[in-house]
Amino acid sequence: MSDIPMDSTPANGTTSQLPINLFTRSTSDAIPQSTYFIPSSWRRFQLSELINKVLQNNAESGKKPVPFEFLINGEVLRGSLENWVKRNRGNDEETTIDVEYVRSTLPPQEVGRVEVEDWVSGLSLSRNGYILLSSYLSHLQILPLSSASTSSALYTLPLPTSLGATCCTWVSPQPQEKDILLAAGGVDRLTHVYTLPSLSPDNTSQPRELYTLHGHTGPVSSIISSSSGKEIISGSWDGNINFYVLPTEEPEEHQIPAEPLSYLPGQNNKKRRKLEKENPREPIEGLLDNDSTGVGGWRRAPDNVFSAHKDKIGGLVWDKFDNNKFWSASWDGSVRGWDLGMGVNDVTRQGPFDKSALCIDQFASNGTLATGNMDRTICLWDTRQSSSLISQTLPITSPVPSIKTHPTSSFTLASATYSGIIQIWDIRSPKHSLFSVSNANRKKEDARKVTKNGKVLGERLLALDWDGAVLVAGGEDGEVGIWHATGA
Amino acid sequence: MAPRNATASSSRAASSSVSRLAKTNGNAGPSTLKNKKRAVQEVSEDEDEEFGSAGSGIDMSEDEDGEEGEDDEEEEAFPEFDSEIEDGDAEEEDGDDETGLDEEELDDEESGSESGYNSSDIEAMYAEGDEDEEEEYSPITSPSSSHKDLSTDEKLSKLIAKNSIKPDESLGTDAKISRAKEGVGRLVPSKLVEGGYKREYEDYEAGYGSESSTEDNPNTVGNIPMEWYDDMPHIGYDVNGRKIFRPAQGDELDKFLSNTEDPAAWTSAEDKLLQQSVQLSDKELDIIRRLERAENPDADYDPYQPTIEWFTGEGNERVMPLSAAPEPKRRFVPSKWEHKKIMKIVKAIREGRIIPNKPSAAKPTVYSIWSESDQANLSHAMYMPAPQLPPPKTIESYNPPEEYLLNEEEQKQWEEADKEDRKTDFLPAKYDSLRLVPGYKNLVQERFERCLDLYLAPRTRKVKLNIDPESLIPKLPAPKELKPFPISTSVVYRHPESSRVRSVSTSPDGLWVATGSEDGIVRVWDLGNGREVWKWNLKGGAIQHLSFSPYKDECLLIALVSGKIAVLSPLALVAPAIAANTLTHVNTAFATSAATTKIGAGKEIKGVESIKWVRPSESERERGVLVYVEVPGTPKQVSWHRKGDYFATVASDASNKSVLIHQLSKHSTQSPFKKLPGQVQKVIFHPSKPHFFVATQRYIRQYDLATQTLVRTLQSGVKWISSLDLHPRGDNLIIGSYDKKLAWFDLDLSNKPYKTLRYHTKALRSVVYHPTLPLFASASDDGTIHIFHCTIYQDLMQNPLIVPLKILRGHKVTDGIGVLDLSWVSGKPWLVSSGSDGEVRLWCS
Repeated sequence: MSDIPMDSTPANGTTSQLPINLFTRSTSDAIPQSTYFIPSSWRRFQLSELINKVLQNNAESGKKPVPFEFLINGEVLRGSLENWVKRNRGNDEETTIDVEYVRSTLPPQEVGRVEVEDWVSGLSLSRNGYILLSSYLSHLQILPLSSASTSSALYTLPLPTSLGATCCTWVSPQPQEKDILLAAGGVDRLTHVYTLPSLSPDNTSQPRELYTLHGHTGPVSSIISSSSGKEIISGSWDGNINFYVLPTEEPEEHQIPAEPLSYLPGQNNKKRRKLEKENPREPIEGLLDNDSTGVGGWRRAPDNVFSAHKDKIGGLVWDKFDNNKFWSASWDGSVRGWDLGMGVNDVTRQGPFDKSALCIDQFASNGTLATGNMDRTICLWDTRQSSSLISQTLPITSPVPSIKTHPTSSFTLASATYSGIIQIWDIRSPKHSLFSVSNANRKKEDARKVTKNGKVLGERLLALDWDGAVLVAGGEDGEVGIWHATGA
Repeated sequence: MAPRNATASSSRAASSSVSRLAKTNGNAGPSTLKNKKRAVQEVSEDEDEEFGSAGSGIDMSEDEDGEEGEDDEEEEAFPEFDSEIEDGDAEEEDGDDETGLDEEELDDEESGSESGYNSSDIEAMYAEGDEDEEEEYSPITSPSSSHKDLSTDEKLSKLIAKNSIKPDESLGTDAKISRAKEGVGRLVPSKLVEGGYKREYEDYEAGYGSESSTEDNPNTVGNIPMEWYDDMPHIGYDVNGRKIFRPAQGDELDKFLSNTEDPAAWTSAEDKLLQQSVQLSDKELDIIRRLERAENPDADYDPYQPTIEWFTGEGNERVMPLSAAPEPKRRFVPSKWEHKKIMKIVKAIREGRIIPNKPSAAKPTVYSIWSESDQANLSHAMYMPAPQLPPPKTIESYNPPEEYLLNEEEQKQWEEADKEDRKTDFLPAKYDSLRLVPGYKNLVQERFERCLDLYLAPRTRKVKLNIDPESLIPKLPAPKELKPFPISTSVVYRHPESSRVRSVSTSPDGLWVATGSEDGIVRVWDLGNGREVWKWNLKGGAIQHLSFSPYKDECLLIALVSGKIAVLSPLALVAPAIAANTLTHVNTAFATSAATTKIGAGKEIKGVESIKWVRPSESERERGVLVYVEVPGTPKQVSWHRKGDYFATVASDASNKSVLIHQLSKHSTQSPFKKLPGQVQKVIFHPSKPHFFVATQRYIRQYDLATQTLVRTLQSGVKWISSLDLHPRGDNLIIGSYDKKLAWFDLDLSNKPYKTLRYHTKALRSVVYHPTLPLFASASDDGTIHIFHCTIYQDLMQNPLIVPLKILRGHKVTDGIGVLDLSWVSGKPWLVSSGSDGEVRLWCS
């Protein structure tokens, strides 16, 4: 390469030259393969300039220079090449170093924090400009992202239970502006589907619970909806996955009878009603929320039940290529792919039985699945090859209850952990995360320790979402943190 | 008279002692006759002293005569002893001397004096004595006739004395006595009595033969400086006080002349006392000569006396042995030690280690002087050569090449450096020739240090016991191979006021964790994320213990508070079907028996009056408190039967009702033991058989509930059992104790522990088997949880494999109490632990 910008090298004759191979996995940034002799004192910046020069990203060609990050053996280059060689190669300056370069991302920048009254259990950013969150106070809240940290919630939808909501999702697709559907799963084993007339602030009509999806015998752990907004799949602690098709019109009658609120036998219903008329019955703590206004929607039974998992369903994700397919991860250590049309489990990846998956997500570009596990790892599952099991493992210090891949990149993912740390990973550098934001050490002295309803606050994170620009995370600390995080 | 007598007796005593010695030595010499005589003589000696003191002169003289003779006789009785030889010597040496004088001298010497050396005095004395004798003999011999006439008594006594002595001896003695002692006076006519005679004695001659100071020295001034008399005409006084006048002194010329003329002048010496020169005798000259030659001055002294073999040699063999002991065996048996020594040599010869008559190896004519010649002996196992000095180097040469010489700067440096820091001990120097090399002053120091090196350097082969410590550890599989097992904390279930959590239990489906804390609240938590989802306040003080029913189709939880057992179910959290099952199970008995359905009413079972099954209030029942069982005392432990109908409680303070077995479906309670063997600590149901284990302080008893018999008693060997768990297969049992031990029992093997593990540093609080995986855990007051792997083989002959896997640390020790309870998560290698610090932790793999 004759066009190596020698002028930018420091004019020091004694600097040794290191042979390196620069390569990348992204097609747009590829440069011709060759071995370059690079002064050992070069750092990321010089290498990045070199690649921009080779790519002719300069003012003349009208392309903006792109900052690059350099990875050697899955480790991000921080400091000079010389240091790396000294540390890892023991002054062996003759062997060629393979250096992978990736477009660098900016570290996440905190935008604001929203205080929630109880633990945050689920977060969704799939509708632009709004944060949907569910909390263990059995609330579903919609926050406008633009003024999230300043204003209170746009809507607060209480669930008809006080046991708490575990997850939430937008059901209606992005373009739909009216009668927006959203859903929340609860510890009460039900999935509650709400309808919002409109998200505009001048809306007067109140949101209401439209459907109550029955069928689980354990708390709901995960809900996903199809891109059309017509189907909902929920996973539960009982190991079953229920598939619901929402009716196109509001139905007239319940599909199943109501679950009893009290199981106590030996009571005559007539007598009881009489009694209740005389002195109105107080709600049972835990079953009915004291201030709950929800009366429940139309009770729906599942259209299909997928049961193959032997343990709690940790997470569900709709396949990003095939609308007729979804993936589930379970506490029994397996990842299964399901065909909705056939109604069967067509792919099974069984990991170790103690590798309990708490969450799952899929890379948009290549379909690789990523699960966050109880055994303090993030596992990548290659679903295309039938033989491979776990393709890669990222070590973390505590369980990963929530994981989210970058919407476009095939390498970047964000994870939240029980130790209160949000990490952004590039799977090309599996040893260390790209960025790490801790939640725990930022505690103020006067911060609340206990919520209003007497629950102890901690540092654990339970939910995270990331749309490629904004990252939100919340959990046991009763707050939702909002960051700007691009990432590839 | 007296001193003389004393010396004589002393000499006699000495000689007699000698003779006695000789006799005891068994010499054949003396005859019996002589012995008799000897005895007589001894008696007479005694008498003699008495008489001596009485002062009878005649007796004494006669006695002395006899004595002298006897003395001689004795001396002759031991001819070999010394007298003969001495006599011979004396005769040879002093051949020219008078025999009489010689005898006198001998006699004198024999009488035990040391005077032999001072021969001049002796000579002088005897010279006078001789003269005296001559004078004295003549009067005795001359008036012999008158002598005979005088006293017949005297004659008689003399005759007796003569006849009692051997004739040959008496001759000598007689002569001797007559010459040596003039004890008999002569009779002279008395001047006072007319015609009378008086016996006149001579002047007594003291004859202190041995004392030179009192010898016949006429001058009596004593040992004073003689110059005091220099200006006097006399030089002293004689015995009678008369002045001794200074002898005529010749002038110098006379002296010279006498010196030149007299050939013996040079052998004379000046006697200062008498102020005249005395001619030295030959004997004196001989003594001087001997002294000059550093010889013994006594001419008679023979340094090379022949050895006298008294007891050895021919003819001297001892007839009688000295001891009666039999001859030792070693006198007859050949020496084993010598035999061994010889055999060793023989063996060496056979093996070729020793080659007899080996021709000495010829030294090569040319060889390296620095060779390893001193290591030739290497075949000897323990041989170790002394460290060698390094060979000399060029720098040590007297004429080293220039590059070895130090320049001034280096020289200065060398001088300034400490002795230990110097490269060389000396300064290299150059000399033109070897003869110019000065002496090396450090030579002695260096040799000395080298000697110290050789002497002090320990040259022993120290054989180290080379055992790999790893090999001593039993072969156990590595913990890595036994994964998964709990490693680190994943979830913390936080209790509000950090109240002590006494008990923890996980639901059989692995979804919920129930904890009972000292604030009296039972909490149900989401196992996965630590969310408290349900709670009951039992308002009965601290929750002592709680346990989920192992039956999966129901969700039942039993919590113990003081005096009460609460049967709980988190109805809202479970599926309706399970909730219905649970309620049906628990409430059926209420429906069938009117008495028990009444709130506050109790059913009396078999005389157990104080035990009541109580129906809680409606609101409590809606919250999931299904039944209260009121029991005496404070129940501390609940143990479920695997089918979830029976459960047993232990209240150690309820005397004979401390162990109760309750049946949920009938609301009945039994007290299986009328009398308990001791204070019951824990009970547990056998997982498959109708057996029941009761742990008291030291023993575990296994009862068959069906036949109501004692199956076996296990002796724990610990002091106080704190916890107990049974392996899910039912053949193995572990106990934890307050004295830090964990004991594993193989029920098929023995009544004693198969293994007792002491890993914890404080009391154990809980031991739990995993329901499905080969794991067990123990919790202790030291704040740690130990995880063990335990494989139980199907083969009965193979002992269980117990491998310590992991120590889980994280619980804080508060008030000396650490981890209180443990519970495994079913189906997962996860452990839930509760601590006194108010934290409940989930440990994940």
